[in-house]
Amino acid sequence: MNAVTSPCDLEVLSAYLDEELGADETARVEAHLDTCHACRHRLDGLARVTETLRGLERAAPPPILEEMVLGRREVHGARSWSGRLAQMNESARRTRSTIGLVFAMVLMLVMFVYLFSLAQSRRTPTSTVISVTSEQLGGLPSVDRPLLLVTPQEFPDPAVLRAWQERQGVTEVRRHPAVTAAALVTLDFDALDCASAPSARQAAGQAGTSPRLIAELSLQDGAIRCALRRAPP
Amino acid sequence: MAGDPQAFEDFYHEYAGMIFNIALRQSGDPELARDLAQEAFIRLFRNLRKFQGRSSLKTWVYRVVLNHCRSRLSRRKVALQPLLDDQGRERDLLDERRDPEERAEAASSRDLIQRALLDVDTTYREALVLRDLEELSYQEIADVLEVPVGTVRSRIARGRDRLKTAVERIQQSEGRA
Repeated sequence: MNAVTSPCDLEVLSAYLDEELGADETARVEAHLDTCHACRHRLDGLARVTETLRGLERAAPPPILEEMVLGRREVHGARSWSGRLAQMNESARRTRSTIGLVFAMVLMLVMFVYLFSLAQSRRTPTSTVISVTSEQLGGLPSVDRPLLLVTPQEFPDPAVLRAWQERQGVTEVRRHPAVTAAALVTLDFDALDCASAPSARQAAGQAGTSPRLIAELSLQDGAIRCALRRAPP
Repeated sequence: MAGDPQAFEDFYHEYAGMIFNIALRQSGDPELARDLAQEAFIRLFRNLRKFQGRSSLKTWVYRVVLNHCRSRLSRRKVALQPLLDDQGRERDLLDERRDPEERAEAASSRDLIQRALLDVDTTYREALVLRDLEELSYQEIADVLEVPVGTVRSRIARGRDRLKTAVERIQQSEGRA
């Protein structure tokens, strides 16, 4: 703090009055007061008003306050402590109940929407699989149309296609372009049964060649159909 | 303390005087001060679990009471009111063992300074009450008001200056010497 100079610093004089200055600063103020009449006058003015204020005697709380706070009785329409507290607690309880109810309803709604969405996503494809036997096709015609090769890598679980090929004795799977990749991925291969596989294998064996069978997937009347073909020599 | 009636009663007796006087000096109205004090006790009781001990309990109590008085009184113009007893007669807050002449003079002086105090801005009045009536140190006042010590020093100094001016103004308007 800087040394006190004229005009007198009100804050310093006030703090001096309260003995809130450090030793060095107090000494500087006292030395200044010895020579500055204006500062002494100002200090006296502060001291008088402070003394008058400090002269305000401490008021005793009215006895009725104790009764109001400690909940012993109501006073002239003013609510007692217990009444006020009960009212505040009841209000808080109602607010908590309302919030809890709204939260529970929102939670139920979210759960319902989630479960509904889950059920929708698990619905099986509507496509119908029809197995076509080699006899119905009049033997085993060779593949003479451009078809798309179906590889296990197109599936989320490649093992699904491999397992089906092995069960059916099918070397290769091809699809018509109308059978989209998306429809193929959702196809239930367990229900896709090329029932002619054993006889087809037998027919291929009679031709003196290694049995190389191709499963041809086509879309007819909205349904995926499976037909066996022999691979070209 | 929340679940212990005796502890709460002890707390009341410990702080009732301080809380009532703070409310009285801020409002100038004993009946309003009584209500402010009761409301302050409710706030203290409900928020005691939030008291984390970062300051002393006394500092926290001061802070809660002042904040409550400030918010309640900010929307109303305070005026000095006498305290009435149960029969509606004006009650003297001073020691009734004093002789009548002393009590009359003291009452006049008390009335003057209380009226002047109400003329001082709330910000300065709070600092003056804490210093000159509650006898807190500058550091303690800084903790209560959550301001720097330098700010406390400034508010007390300016508050005294404004109080002095208010006293002189009232005396002049009433023709007092």
